[in-house]
Amino acid sequence: MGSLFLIAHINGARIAIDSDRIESLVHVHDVVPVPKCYPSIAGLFALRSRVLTLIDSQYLVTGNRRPVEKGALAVVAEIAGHHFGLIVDSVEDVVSINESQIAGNIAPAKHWAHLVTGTALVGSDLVMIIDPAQLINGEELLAA
Amino acid sequence: MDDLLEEFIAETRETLEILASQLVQWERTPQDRTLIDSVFRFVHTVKGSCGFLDLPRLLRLSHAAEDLLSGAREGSVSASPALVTAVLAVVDRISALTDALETGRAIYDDDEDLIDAMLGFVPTNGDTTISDIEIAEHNFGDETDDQGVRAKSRTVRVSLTLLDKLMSGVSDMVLARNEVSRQLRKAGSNNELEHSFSRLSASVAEMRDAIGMMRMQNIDRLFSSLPRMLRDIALELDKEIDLRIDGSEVEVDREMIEALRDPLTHILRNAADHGIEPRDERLAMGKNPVGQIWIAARQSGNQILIEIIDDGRGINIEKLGARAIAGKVITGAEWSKMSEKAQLQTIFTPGLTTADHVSAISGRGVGMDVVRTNLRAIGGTIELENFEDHGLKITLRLPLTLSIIAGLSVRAGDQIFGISRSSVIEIVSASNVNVKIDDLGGALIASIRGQRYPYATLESVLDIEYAKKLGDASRTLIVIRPAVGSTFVLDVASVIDNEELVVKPGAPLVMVAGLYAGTSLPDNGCPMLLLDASGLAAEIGVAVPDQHILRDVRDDDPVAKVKHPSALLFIASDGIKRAVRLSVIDRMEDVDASQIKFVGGKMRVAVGEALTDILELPAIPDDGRVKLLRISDGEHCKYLAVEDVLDIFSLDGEIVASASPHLHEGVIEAFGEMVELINVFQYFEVSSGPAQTAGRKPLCFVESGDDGHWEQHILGPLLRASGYSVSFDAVDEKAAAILLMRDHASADGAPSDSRILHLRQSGYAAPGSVPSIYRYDRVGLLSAIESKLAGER
Repeated sequence: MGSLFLIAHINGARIAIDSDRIESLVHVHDVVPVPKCYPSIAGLFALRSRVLTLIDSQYLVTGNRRPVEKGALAVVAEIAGHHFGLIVDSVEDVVSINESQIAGNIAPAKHWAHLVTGTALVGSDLVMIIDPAQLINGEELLAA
Repeated sequence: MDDLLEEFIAETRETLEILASQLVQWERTPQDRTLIDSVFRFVHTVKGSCGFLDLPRLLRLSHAAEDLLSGAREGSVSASPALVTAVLAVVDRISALTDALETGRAIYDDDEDLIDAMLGFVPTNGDTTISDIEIAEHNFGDETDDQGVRAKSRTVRVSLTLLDKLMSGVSDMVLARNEVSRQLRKAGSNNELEHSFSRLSASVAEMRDAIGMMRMQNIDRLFSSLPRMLRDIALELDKEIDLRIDGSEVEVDREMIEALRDPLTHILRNAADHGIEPRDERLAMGKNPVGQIWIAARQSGNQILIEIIDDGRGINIEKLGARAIAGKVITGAEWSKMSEKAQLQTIFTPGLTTADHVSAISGRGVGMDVVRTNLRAIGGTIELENFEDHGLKITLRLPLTLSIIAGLSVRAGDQIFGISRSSVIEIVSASNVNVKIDDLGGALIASIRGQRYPYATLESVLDIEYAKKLGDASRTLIVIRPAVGSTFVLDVASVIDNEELVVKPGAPLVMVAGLYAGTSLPDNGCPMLLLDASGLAAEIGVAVPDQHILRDVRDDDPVAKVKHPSALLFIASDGIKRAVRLSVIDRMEDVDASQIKFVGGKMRVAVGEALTDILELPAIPDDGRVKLLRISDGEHCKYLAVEDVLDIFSLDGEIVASASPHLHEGVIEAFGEMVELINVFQYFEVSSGPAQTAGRKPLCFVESGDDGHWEQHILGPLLRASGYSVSFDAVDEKAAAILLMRDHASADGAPSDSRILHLRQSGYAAPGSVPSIYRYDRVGLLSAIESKLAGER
């Protein structure tokens, strides 16, 4: 019995996020930029009377900021008591991944390494499993 | 003290409530050990608190009960129903006395009877009879049967988690309400709906306030125990230390107070033990022999700041380094590469101390690291500022977790930011005459009424683009006093609104920028960043005045200064700098040149319905605007034309006498220049005309002869303009106050009436004629009329 994972795309690459970590999937409209902050922070947005921080996931991988388009798709996750939105290109599916499908020994490309906790075979393709917390923690490490 | 008493009452009552059922049980099973224990604990606690609070009656009662019960626990006294009754009588009396503490009602003092009844059970005097106890019970019943004695205010203890839940629930409610209000606006107006919504709105706001209060407590609860503690330490160390506490009124989360107790105690002990030098050493260093410790609490945005400042020896960095290296915390090479700030941080390393000896109070090296850990646990931080040989300043920053602040929303670039109103001292328009911004080699300084502050635009601080559209609209300056750092001026595109903002903590990634105090979601549904005043100050590079670590920060408050009369420095229309007392100026107005007319021999401006005189305006400019100062003597106003307004200064210097006192009150020094202080009197003096309109106009009868043209068309209007009513009708001759007569060829036949003023045709008075005034001598005529009127009354 495996757990459910959301298959999504970041910077064109297929990734999987444990659905237990995901609160919802939303389209982001009005984003308020945060000046003088980490470049990975795309800004703030409001979701049902809460203020969420939007993470430019692409920046974490490529080091290039991507302007947030109106209606961009974001995965909402709670990390360390705060709610974040992670921008994704698109979402594909929700699939069940078994422990046995996850392999820790396949190393992803270097710029992904700090985000990826494992790799799994879904169908006939490999996907990188991402822990949303890494998007935040990894960032702190980068900044330090 | 009152707080402690209240808590004691609440606690005692609460325990009694819990105990109530057990007491009933105890009556049935007097031998039950666990029940005896609970009652014992209760009286023991009461005894402890009473001794502390100085409540002798309660102390005696609880002490006696404790004695008896401890005997029962040891088995030296056998617990019988009679004993239970006696103890219960005492417990009930304690309850009654506790209520009395609150209501202020007196309770008849027969405590000795109760005590005696109880002590009868103690083996040494075992001759008590049941009847004694009954009497005691009886007495007791008489006095407290009255329900009116019951509490005015009752308290309930609620767990903090529940409070938290309630609080976040209410915050969400506020935000949801805001969303509803937005939807309502979109949907269009519906009176009934709006009415019910505003009611809902009001009750939500009320509830939010009440819940906000629930968690908060005066930080004084934490501070009140410090003076005593410091006194004990000082005695032990044989040092003299003065403790000053500021900001006791700051409200802090209850939980925070408990969490802060240990760190604060620790810091204070450290300061007293290691910071403050012994008396001789202080004298040798030329310091005040009495050590100073200052604790100040302040709220800044959603943070509470507690500063502990001492004027002791500070931290000896070299010694710290030596210890750190010796303790293998760090290598010598690493140490030498570190910045001083980083070196200072090693004090937080576990097991490190700079103290030469370990004392009972501190110095065992389990100090600062524990303090920091404790603070971190509640989301706080600690900062050190070391002034070697002069003192140490420790700043604790604590979050307010979730709170609602009164905030200002300001615009910078295309974005809106919030800032806590508590740090805002003043808001002025950048085009205000009292504002001047100087560039000192890149550092910008704003002068507002002579007070100078560091200055920066919010856009430049945040590195964002200036809004394009609002190019020439006047910007706004906000004078901000941050909790840390000195007052500065922030220039924003505009101040939008004054609103209540629910502070939501920002994600750590956002907060780490150091500029933000959190986020908020205002009514427009667009997230807003709340600016942290201290963070902005640090970004602008406002230096903390390090020489004056013990100086009260509020000293620089311009408002606190003694008020001298102020004057306004301006460039007069003739291009000369002059000054005028500020108190006579109503306001400054820019008036379009087209509104100004030269009519009736004066420059006048049409403002609203009225025409008002303009003084000192030689010519109407072809176009553009004229700067006018509206001056007033309280009754009338006039405009004084000026070229430009320069600044306001206080008239604390000497006023040197002027050669022409009717024009200038004197000469004063303003910003290093000598300028004339104009005498406003002159402007109102010449125009006394309208002033007379207020009262009854004296009537002048003018005798108009055969040729009445001059009288009717020349003299009449002059008199009217000077505030007299004029009549040419002989009927009014009797009622008139003044009779004006043109001299006829011969003066001899003229009637003699004290009211008569003779006017003569020629400039010279003919010899032998009656006293007369040349008919074109306007000043002479008017003053003659005046003196006649004055002489008459």
